[in-house]
Parts: sequence; C-alpha cells; structure tokens
Amino acid sequence: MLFPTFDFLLFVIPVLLLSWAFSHASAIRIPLLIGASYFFYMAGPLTDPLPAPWYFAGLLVFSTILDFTASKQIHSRNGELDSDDPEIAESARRSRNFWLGLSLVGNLGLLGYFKYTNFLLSAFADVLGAAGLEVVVPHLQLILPVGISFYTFQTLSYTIDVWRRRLTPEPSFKKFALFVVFFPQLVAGPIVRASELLPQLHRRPQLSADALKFGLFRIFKGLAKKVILGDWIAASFTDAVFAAPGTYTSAELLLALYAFTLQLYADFAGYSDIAIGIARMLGYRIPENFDRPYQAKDLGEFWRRWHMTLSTWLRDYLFFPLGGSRGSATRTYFNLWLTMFLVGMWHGASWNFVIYSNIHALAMVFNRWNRLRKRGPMTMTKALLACVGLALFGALVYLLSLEILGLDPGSAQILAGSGVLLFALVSWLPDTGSPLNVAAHVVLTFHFTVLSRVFFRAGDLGSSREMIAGLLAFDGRGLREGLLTPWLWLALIGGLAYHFTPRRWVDEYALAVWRRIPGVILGIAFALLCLAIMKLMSGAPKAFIYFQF
Amino acid sequence: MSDTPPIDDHSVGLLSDEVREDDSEIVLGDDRPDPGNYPRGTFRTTISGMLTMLMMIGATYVLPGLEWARPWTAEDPVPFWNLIGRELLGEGEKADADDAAIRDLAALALAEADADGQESAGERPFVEPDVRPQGEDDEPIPAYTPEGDDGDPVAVPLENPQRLDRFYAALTQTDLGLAGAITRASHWGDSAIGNDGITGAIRAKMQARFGDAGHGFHLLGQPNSSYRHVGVKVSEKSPWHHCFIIQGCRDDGFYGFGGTSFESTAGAEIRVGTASKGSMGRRVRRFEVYYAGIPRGGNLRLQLDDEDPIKVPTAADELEDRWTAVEAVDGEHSLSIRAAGGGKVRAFGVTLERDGPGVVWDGLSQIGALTRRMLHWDQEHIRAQVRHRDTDLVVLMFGGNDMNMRGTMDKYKEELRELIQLFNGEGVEHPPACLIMAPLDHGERRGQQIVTREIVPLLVEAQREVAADEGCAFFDTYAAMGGEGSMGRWARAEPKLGSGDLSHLSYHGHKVIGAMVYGALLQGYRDFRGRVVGKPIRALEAIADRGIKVEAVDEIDLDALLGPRAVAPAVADEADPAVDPVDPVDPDQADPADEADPASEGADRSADERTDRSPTAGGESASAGRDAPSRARPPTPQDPQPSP
Repeated sequence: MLFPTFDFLLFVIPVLLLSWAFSHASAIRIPLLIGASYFFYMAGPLTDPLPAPWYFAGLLVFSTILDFTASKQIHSRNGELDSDDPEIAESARRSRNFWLGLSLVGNLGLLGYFKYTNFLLSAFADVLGAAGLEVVVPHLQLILPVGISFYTFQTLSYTIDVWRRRLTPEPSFKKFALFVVFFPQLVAGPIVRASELLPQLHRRPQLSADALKFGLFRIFKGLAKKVILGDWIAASFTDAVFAAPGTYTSAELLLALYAFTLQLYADFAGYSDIAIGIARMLGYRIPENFDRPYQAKDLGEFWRRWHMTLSTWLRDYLFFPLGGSRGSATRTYFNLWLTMFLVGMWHGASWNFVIYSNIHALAMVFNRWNRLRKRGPMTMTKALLACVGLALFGALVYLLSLEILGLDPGSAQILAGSGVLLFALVSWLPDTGSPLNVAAHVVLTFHFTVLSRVFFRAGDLGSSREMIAGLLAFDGRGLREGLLTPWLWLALIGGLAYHFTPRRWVDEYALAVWRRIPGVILGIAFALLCLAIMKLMSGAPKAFIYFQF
Repeated sequence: MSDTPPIDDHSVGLLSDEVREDDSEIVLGDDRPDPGNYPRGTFRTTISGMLTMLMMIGATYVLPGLEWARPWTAEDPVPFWNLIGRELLGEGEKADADDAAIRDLAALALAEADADGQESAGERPFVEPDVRPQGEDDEPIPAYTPEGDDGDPVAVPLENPQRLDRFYAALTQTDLGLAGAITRASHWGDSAIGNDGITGAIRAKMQARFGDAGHGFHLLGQPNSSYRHVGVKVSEKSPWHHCFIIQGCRDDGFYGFGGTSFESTAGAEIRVGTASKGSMGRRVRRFEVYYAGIPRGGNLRLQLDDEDPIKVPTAADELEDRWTAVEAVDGEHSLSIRAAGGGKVRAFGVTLERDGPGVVWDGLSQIGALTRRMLHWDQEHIRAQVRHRDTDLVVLMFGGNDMNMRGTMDKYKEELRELIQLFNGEGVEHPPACLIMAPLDHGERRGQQIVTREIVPLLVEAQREVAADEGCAFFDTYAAMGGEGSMGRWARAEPKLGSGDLSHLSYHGHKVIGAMVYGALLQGYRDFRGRVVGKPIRALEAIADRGIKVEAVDEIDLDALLGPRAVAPAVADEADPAVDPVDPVDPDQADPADEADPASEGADRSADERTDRSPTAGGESASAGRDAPSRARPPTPQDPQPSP
C-alpha cells in the first residue's frame, strides 16, 4: 500500500483507533497490528505496473519462521558453547553456525534470487562477451517483492545479534512476527533493529498528546516532501529528461541532475518521515534515517546523514566484523571500500550501480586518507608525489571514460581534467571550520553527490553515457522556453533552500508552532493537503523510489 | 563498550576511527507492567483533527458542487484493489492482460532504445547496402527474402496497403540495390512528431534495413524548442526570422516544403551538418537548399565546410521556387547558409542526401498545427516543392490539436480532404503515395482513472473515412497504442511511454510507435513483393513514377512508356578524383544549356575541386520527374547560376 493514497487513509484511521483502544491489551493489540501489517502489504491500490500478488506475503512468513527458529536454536546452545568439554563446545559452535548459516542462506538467497539473478546472469554474459565468447543467458521474469531489501536486513540483524550473544531471542512469536512486518517501515525502512523495536513491544505504547502531535507533524512534513518535491518534480521534469537525455541541452541535463538530487532525498526522506510519524502515533519510536544529508562537509559525513539505518547496519554487521579500522592501513581501506561498495550495490543490480558504488567507495577511501594524512609545508618530494598521483588519477579517469563510458576523447579529457581538479581541490582545501571554509566543503561534497547521481538514476549504462556526453558538450543552448513552470522553479529552489536551513528551524521551532495548533485546524490542514495530493498526483500514485530496492 | 556518536554529531564520519563497536547485550523478556491509563486529553487534539478531516471529505459527497474534490468515485478502482478487486471481484485477469501488453511494449521500447544506444555509441556500425551491378534491370524481380525482424507479427496492420504501391515500388528498387535508388518519404504532422521522435524512429529502422540515403529535410533553423532532429548537427550563429504556416503570416502562401519560411536581410546564418555520433546521418553527398526567388532579393552565401563560399543571388522578376545543390564527396560535411546582403532573402530549408541505395524519411513537424492551418500553403507552391522533392510517400499525422475544435466532424473531414488533395488532387500528374496516421490517444483524468477523451475515436474514424475516400492507406495509431485508456497506461508504464500531459509520447513511446509503423509498412511491403515477383525490374519504375498499377504491368510496353532502358551510371568512386560526383542525368532530360554553361558544373575549377564540391543551381523545374534509374536529384538547369 502507498502512503499518499485514499486507500491508506481508509486503512490507517481504523488501525490507529483500534490500536489506541487496545493499548492496554497487548494480547489483542499485537495480533491486530500483525494483521494490519499483512493487510497493508497485500492490499495495495491498482497501480501501473501492477502490485505484486498478495501471496508474496508468504516470503514474510517464511522469513519470520526461519529467523525465529534459527535464533532459538542458536541461543539454546549458548550454554554449551562455554562448556569445559571441547567436544560439547565444538558441537555447540557447529550447531550455532549451522543455524546462522541457514538464516543467511535463506534470507540472502531470496534477496539475491529476486534482486540480483538477472544482473549476475547478464554480467556473466558481458564478461564472457568481453573475452570474445558470445553466450546467450536467460532473462527471468522476476517480480521484486516490495521491501525485501529492508525486511531481509532487519531479520538478519536479529539472528546475527543472537548469534553474537548481544541479544537474547524474543520469547514471543507474535511480537517477533510484528517486529518483522511492522507496517510503517515494512517496505522502505528505516531499517529497524530488533534491539530498537522489540523491547518497545514488551511495554504499553508510549502515547501522549505531544507524541501524537509529533507524529502528525512528521506525517504532514513527509507527505509534503514526497508529493511536492518528490513525485511532482519527477512527473513534471526529471523523468522526461532521464528517459531521453540525448534530446536535452547541457544546461537542461545539469538542472535535471540537481532536480533529481532533491527529488530522491524528498522521496525517501518523505517516506521515512511518514513511517516515523505513524510509528510514533502507534506509540513506538523507530530510528531517524536522514539528517539534511546535503549539508555534509565530506562524504563520510554524508553517509552518516543519508539512509543512516542502512549505512550503520553495514558498518555494524560488515565493517566491524571485517576488522573495522583495527588492522593495517591497507586492510582498513579494503574494509572501508567493501562496506561502501555494498552500500551502493544494495541500491540496485546493474552496471550503473557497480560504477556508482565504486565511485562512492573509492571516494570514501580517499576521504579517510585525506582526513588522516599529515599536513605540512609542501616539499619538492610531496609536490612530485602529488603531481604523479594526480596524473595517474587523471589517466585512469580518462581511460575509463573512453573504454567504459564510450566518450569521445575530447569529453574524456574534460571529465578527467574535472576529476583531477576536484581531487586536487579537496586535497588542498584545509578544514579550518570557518563559515566560508565549511561552505566550500559543503558545496564540493554536494556537487560530488549530484554528479554521481547520473549512475544512480539513469536507466542503463547507455543512458548514463548519453547523459555525461550531453553534460560535457557544453552546448551553450540554455534552457528551452516553457520547460519548467514558475511553480516548478519555486519547488526546486524552495526545496533546496529548505534543505540547507538549520535542522532546528523545522524540528524545534516549526514543531513548537505545530503543537499549539488546535485539532480542528490540523484537520483542515490535512484535508487540504489530501486535496493537493489528489490534484498534484492526479489519481496516479507513484511508488516510492526506494520500493524498487 | 564505547558509545557510538549520536546522530547529530557530525564531527565523525560513518566509518571513522572514533566509531567503535557496541558490544552490550540486550535481554528480551517478559512484558513490563502496564502503568495505567493515559492522561486525560491525550487523544483529544488528534481525534478532533481526524473528525474534522473526515467531515471535510464527507462533505464532498454530500454538498453539491464539491464533486471535484472527492477522493474516490464509483468509477475509480475499488479501494484495496490488490486483494478486493484483483482477487475477490475477478478484475485480476484483465489487469494482468493489460499489464502484460504494456510490459511487452515497454520491452519493445527498451530493445529499440538499446539498439539506438548501440548506434549512438558506435557499437553497431552501419553497413552500406550492396549496389546491384549495372545492366540487370531487365531481370525478373526475385522472390522476397525476409531480413532481420521483417517477418515479425504486426500488432496493427496498415489499412489499404496497396495504396502505397508507388512507395513500395521505389522501396523494392532500393532493396534490390539499384544504383542511386533512393526511396523518399515526407512525414508532416503536429507536435506528435515534434522532436523528430516518431519520424526519427521510423527513419532509423528504415535506414538500418534498406540503407542510409541521408537525413532528408531540415528547416533553416530551430524555430522552437521542440525542433531537434536526431542525426543532424545544427548551429545557429544568428537565427533567421521564421514564420510558421500555422500563423498564416505569408499572404503569398510560400511557406516552403517544411511549412516554415525564413527571412533575413543580412547576417542570419545557420550551419547544418552531419551528426558527430551514432552510425546514421554521419555522411552526406549532397546538400540542397530550398529557397525562393523574390523581386529585389538579396544573396545567399553557401559555404561547404571551410571552403570558399559561394554566392547565390535570389533576385527574380516574381516570387518563385528555387533550389541550389552543393555536392561533396560522400562523408562528414556541414553547410553554412547565410543571408549575405543585397536585399531580403527568403529560404525554407536544406536537404541532406547521399547517392543511395537507401531511404530518406523527412520529419516535418508543425507544433500546434490544426489540420486546416496547413491549407495556408499556396497550392502550386507546395505541389512544386513536393514534385521537386520527388517524394514517394506523403505521411500526414494531424489531429492532436483538432481535438479542441468546436466545429463538426464533417467540417474536419473536409479540411483533411483538402489537405490530402494538395498532394494528390486533380492536376498532380504522378502523385506520391499517401498514408494517414491517426493521432495518438489523448487521455484525461477522471477521478483516479485516465480515460480517452471522447473525441479521439470520432476523429480517428473521420480520418479513416477520408483516407479511404482519398486514396490513402491508413495506420490506426490509436488502436496500436491499445485503444481506450491507452495513454494512461503508456504514461504509467516503466519506462514511461507516454508523457505526463497525456497527449504526447516519451522517447520510449516514440520508439514503440516508430517500430509499429515500420512493422506495418514492412508487412505491406512483403505483400507488394509477392504481387510483383517475376515481373521485370523496370516495371518498378513504371509503377513508381507513372502510377501504373501492378496488375496492369504485364499489359504495357515498358520501352514505349519509359523509353529505351537507361544505362545505369556507376556510383561515383570517392577514391577517384577524376570521376565527377554530380549525379547523372537522363540524356533525354538533360538541358543542352547545362553543358554549355561551365559555371553549373564548376568548369572553372580544377578537377580536384570539382570532385569535392560541385554546386548546381536548381529552379522550379516543371520536369522535376524521376531521373531513371538514379533517384538522386539531378541538376536543374533553368535557374540562375551561383557565382563564386
């Protein structure tokens, strides 16, 4: 089900009222919320393309049973693991590992099958093709189950935590089932860990007038973000540009990249706002997922602010187990690269995402090197090394631009030159903390994320190529008349300006004003928002971008 | 255990050293005791807000005049459709069928776009078709052998495809590889073909199959943001002043072949050249500038690449059509067309062509055109333009803007009829074949649904009727899209096939329609080849140029009709500078004056120069017929000669 639809309104009001009514009766409330969550998953509105059939909910049931059982089995052998008898301890270790392996294979197997099979097959064919062997691989007609990337990580974290003995298993199957399918964040996050939600299910929902108003505030804010800055910009501008980049001018392509950068944030952060708001109205807190990411001064900070529950998930369940930054410098850089590469690949299965993931992973590696390196007076040796490094970097970008992106030599030179310039600028720019210095860092980081979005949004490598070639053409033809309406300009400029305001302005001041508004006025505001959504979306609800992940 | 920095502590990055693993243990256990009821008033504000909102929504169902604000109407899909509508009400089957159909179209769009991308990236180099050896055109036409996707099933076939016999005859000559056999189609339409989307898609398919004989016609500028042709590189240093036929701004009706005339007293300049990427439109052999001779007309300055410019005077006693060709060695070139002073110059456009065999598909869009606005052409002027263009097929795709008309459908039919008759009406000796393409589906929002505007099927039916009456074939674009409600489905498809305005198509939608039209044309072509198999190849010329019906070919004396068999000229050998690249002219049609005037052949230049560039001037040539067997444009001798 999609949040900004009439169906959801019909669904959520009774669910909220019943949940409040049974807030003291968990024996009723928990099954009620489980049922509501499954209904939410299965009973979406008619959309194009069609929603997945209802029986895909079976995957949720499978995942729930698998992880509930596996964690119980793992925990049951904990005592034996500490046994003085090495045989018993070894047997316990093997049994625990078996159940963990089963959970990993079951969950990641499903995720891999539905999400990555076709890409792996075509990548296999591409690699063989590059070696001169032509093979034809099948393309499976797979429907990606909505939310599989989110609930898979959620249930995995539970089993891994039990295996690592940082969590005892949930004794109640019902509560565990609700943790897996809790509808506000089921299909597009935030990714909630068991340690964050399950303890809350063991107590009465934390409801108060302030909590409810906070929830309403987040829902209102999320809907406005999602519909106005997300869907509307997409429908009015960016979708058309990315569908046929070859027919747009350099300036139009650049503007579309800025617009998409805003749209993507608004779409996903809007969803997270609504999810957090509804959860709060049900009496539960779920973690924040975004914190004004484009205000980041460097890429490391960006990933702390963007989709935080994914990046911290991979940090805790991949980076740390790999050794984190405790090993050698080389090992640390490898760990960092792998973690960030998987963060990128989580978003999609295509060559575009391979490039996108590597751009961000390597930039994170550079970010760490640049942060930790010793700065001092420039010596001849340092200057020489810097020149060699820049030349190698430029040559690499140039070659990749020619071979992978298929750019013409002139465009490849511009791209390589720009890369070298950015690289040198970021390396040189000190971190003084002055407002101007901070602004320079923010601008550089923001533009890095904007430009890398080419690979995030373009449908395939060919479109990325076309987009980059168009951008580098510098055709000087400006924007065509009537391409963007004044209202769209207002949304773009206003949206970006809003993003760069201090968080306090909204989360404290605006919230404080909201809390003083009487219920009747809030009701009118929501009704008008619903009307605006209906007119803007014109009866064509658009799935959240992150549904496809 | 060390603390993970709080969310708003941005002093550390995601994977910075300061971040340490949290190794605390959480014990999940029994329920906590319930601390009792919530304080009074906890739910008051929220519930009053909910009630207010529900009352306001309810009011839209109770109060008259607020129907427009209803979030759901009986025509909308039932709420919770995936369970209730799909499973319980049995709507799943139809939805699945629609979904499958749109997925097929989306897959087709992606495949076409992928092919386009490969061409753009140069991954699929264009292969020149083989040229048939000379002296074989008395042989019988061989049976048709399908190539590539020729035999694929067609979703919507052409209606009355035999009306395109002239086009198919020319296409057969091209397909057989006859030297110089160019098949030309000229496709006029409204914004549905703006951006060269549909026309570009058809051109790409046709040229990939039959050979690239050049981009075809391009206006003398990019007069609006939607006029962006694929496969042509254009730079406007100083734009010409333009005038669209839909504006009715020329009393004389001389709007040119593309329906847009350009004027400048001095200084306006455009450079049109071959594309710099992709595998099509990369070569040109001949530019031809379409302009008007006007009283006290000024000069045109034409400059091929960076060679010496040529001055072309446009002064004439009275308004008349003129053409000037600039020839080059087949390859990458550009031509600058500049108003060079001496008075006002009026020009229309430029064609880019090669020797063939191959296909040229002109994209001639008029954004915002109502069908009747195209009647602003002076009849003799547009007929002369078409005759000179020597087009084999006229395609008309209008109607999108006529959907807002207030007149009756009978009036619309009359307007369309008159438009068609400009091209094939009384007085046109050998009219081109004619194809009417129905407009795209146009949707409108009704509640949550997108439905077809009521006028669409009426307009399509009117066009079908007029096409049948006026000797045209018909392609039902609306049916090809899926009929009722199709634009909604196209707009919601992934990738998007329709535009958000529910009236136009996206890039991928253009590809789909282009592929459908191509498929339908090829189906008609297969049928034609079946009807002419075994007849002499020369019969194709009679069918194409003289309008002889296929079934009548056996009854006529081809030699008497066409004259003695022409000697097919050799295609100019690019490597041999001694070969004059100017297209051969049928000796019977050549004007002796042409030979006498050295300027027309660039006789005062060196042989090498002549090979590289051979400007020829053209005029309103009444005999602008076909130059058998070569379809490349001949020099037209009556016009004033360009002066270097």
